[in-house]
Amino acid sequence: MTILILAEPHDATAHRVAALARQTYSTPAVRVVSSLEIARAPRWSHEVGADGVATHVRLVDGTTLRSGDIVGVFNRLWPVPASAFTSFDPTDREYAQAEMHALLVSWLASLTCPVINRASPHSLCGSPWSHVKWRIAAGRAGLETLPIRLTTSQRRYPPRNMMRVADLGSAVIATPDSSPLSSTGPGIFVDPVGERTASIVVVGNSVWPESLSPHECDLLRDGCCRLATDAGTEFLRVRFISTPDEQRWMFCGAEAVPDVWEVGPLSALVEMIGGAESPHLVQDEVGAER
Amino acid sequence: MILFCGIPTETPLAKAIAAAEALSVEHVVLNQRHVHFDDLVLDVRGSEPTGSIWMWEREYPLESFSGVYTRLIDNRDIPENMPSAHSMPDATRVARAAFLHTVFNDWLEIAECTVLNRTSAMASNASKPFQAQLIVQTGLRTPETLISNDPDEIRAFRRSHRRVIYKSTSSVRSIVRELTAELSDESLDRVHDLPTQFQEFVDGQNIRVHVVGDSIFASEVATTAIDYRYAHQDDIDVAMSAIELPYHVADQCRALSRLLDLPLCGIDLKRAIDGTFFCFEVNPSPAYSYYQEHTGQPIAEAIVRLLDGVATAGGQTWSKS
Repeated sequence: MTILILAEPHDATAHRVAALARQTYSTPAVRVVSSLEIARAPRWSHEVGADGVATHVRLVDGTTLRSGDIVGVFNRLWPVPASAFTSFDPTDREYAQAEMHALLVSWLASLTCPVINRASPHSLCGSPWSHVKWRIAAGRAGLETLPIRLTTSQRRYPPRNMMRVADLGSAVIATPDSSPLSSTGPGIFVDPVGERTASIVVVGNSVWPESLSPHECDLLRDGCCRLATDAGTEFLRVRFISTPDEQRWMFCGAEAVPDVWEVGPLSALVEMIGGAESPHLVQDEVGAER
Repeated sequence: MILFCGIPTETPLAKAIAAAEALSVEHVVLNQRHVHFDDLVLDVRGSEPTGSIWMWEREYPLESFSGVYTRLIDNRDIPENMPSAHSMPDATRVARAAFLHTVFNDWLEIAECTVLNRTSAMASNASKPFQAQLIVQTGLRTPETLISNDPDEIRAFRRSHRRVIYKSTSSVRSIVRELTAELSDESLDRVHDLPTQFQEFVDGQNIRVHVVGDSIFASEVATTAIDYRYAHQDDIDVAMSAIELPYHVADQCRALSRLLDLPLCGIDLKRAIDGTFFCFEVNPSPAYSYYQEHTGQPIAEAIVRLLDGVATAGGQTWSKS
């Protein structure tokens, strides 16, 4: 039985989860596997048929991963790098990447165990939603959102009383743009904001506030959980920025593959990945820290 | 009002535009080669998007569209955005066009009107085995499939199914070929470097089904070629005719269209010799015009009626009488 952590070697969050899972569960092996290891596996067998899906992967170190033996997956896979296919002609590497991506999506979709960050054809891990779609979803989940305007022409569609930003990345407000066409050409604009930022980490139905009071967190909790559910993800960081009067919080972005350091969300992730597995006694100690 | 997007001379788009004109349905074309003259604004306040697109010296509120048929190609592939023999494209114009495409696609993803089809929904075709897992949920059968880089396992798969084909696992187009005994003996070791998709060969009749909302257009393709799309390369004849599907299969096709959130799709079926229907894949951006030309089925008209909001339901099976 194996708990599988699919992540790149530098992914500290994945390695924290792996370490905690090893402390927590006595039975399943915990294996961290990178996209390169998966792509270079000497044996891949993925059968899709009337009897369902069966997969058998043997990694370079001899580890075997069979569908039925995997009890939980924490998926943080990046796209398979072109360097995985150095034996290919350079013009064929893009094709090889697309083929491996297609295989990994099918494999991860077929697993019946708990998978945190299930793959979609758009993205091996994390939601493929655009910043605009996240905002609409956040509004529908009951969160106040930071109004935005995207325009190809500031002359035709002037952004009144709005701030120009370089992008709508998850990191709140980006650096103001000072390019030559900044006053007439395309632009992204947001309403005025306050000076404080905060976030909430969602794991399943539990939340952990970052720079928020317990009362503020209570007000935002349901909206954040609903947003994560609507996005089909169990693990999400929801970012907020204060209103100009500093009285309320507005949704300004989401991270579908967040990094976390605190033991609370880490141990919640480990519990979720373990699913029905019997926890080792160490779990009580972890629980006490929460 | 219907919004058509893409290059208007491209056949599927051209036929849909012609159908809108013939039916006197109000429409406008976002010509991808003219986007340098267009403008777009998208506002998001709360949970409802609003905005406008400026084309042909006129402003169209995004909310005014009853439906969108998009055949947009990659912005980088528009001739105006590519280097010519004499000059490089204007970088500012290219960047502006890219921004317009990004914002427009963002809107298509959240637009309340009927969209044929949203990019997110079209992605299921990027992994054929993933799509196969969805197809079987509708009750349609899929061929037994093996994706492997183990030559011995592939040879065993071939022995158990007698005839096996291979094709791409992703949406990258490939010609379906049979894994012959010669290939199996001599060339199969090449799969070591990349797992490859093999499928049992299903002997029978190729059928392409176009689903447009609840309407079904089925075309039977008579040929001896393994992959009829490329039959001409081997000088093999292809004949096509409109047919009616059994009711339960038509319903399964509608269910598949809904499951994949693809109101317009091209479903590749095969009716095996014993009468069983197998589904191979669902094309999310079908070149329906090829089949319309050969069978006379009014697919473009159905697209226009669906986007105009007058023919969302019906459930009738159309066949040429």
